[in-house]
Amino acid sequence: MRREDAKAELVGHMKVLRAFAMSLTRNSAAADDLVQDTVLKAWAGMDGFQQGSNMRAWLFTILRNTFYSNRRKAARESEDVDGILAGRLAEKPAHDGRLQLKDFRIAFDTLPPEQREVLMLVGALQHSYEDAAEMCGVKVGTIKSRLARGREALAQAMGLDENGPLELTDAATRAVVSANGGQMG
Amino acid sequence: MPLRKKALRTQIDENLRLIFEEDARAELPDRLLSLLDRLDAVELPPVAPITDAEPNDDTGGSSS
Repeated sequence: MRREDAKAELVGHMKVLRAFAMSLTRNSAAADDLVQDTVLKAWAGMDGFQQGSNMRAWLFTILRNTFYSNRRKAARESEDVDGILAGRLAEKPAHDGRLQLKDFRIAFDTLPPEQREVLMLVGALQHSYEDAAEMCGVKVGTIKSRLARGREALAQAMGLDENGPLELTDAATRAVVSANGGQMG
Repeated sequence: MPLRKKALRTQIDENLRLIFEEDARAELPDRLLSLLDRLDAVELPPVAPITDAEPNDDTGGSSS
């Protein structure tokens, strides 16, 4: 693949790549660091990328592998952030069970990164179990179980269950979803 | 799958999409734009052997 073509495609994936980094790091500065490392690794390894294959998935794989490598090396997942988030979550829900998006994000941020990445890949981005398994370097069964645990944790954190009300989003949120046709930009 | 459970899953996935979209709409910070600008000038290190997509091998292989 020619470098100029590779760069053009890489640039096109940058915002989604950063959003995926945000879902893992929950911190914009850390997400920027992660994206920067990912771009440099991808650029250096571009000769190993086969034209016609899925560059976004390849970039996601590099990004999440870099995230876990850094995490293992530093072992510094912020306990303070987790504590603050847990405290904030303990105060929910203050609006009669109606889940606002910010509450949902807080609940999401308390989940382990292994669940967050699968929720984003399969739940938000609608990748198949098989694609997610390949990107994460795990078996399909692991993807399914992480996804199920993540969804269950989100439902429980927000006080929702199969018998409870399903007002998960407010009217404004529903309008946005409807206007977008449920599609990603 | 029970209808209610399916509806709950759909709602959760909708919200996941929304928070991902929210992050994906954000403008790239200057440092990343700058990185892209000077990418051509980045000195490329020797390429390490590529094996699989396990965490220690960050670049993995091309995804199909």
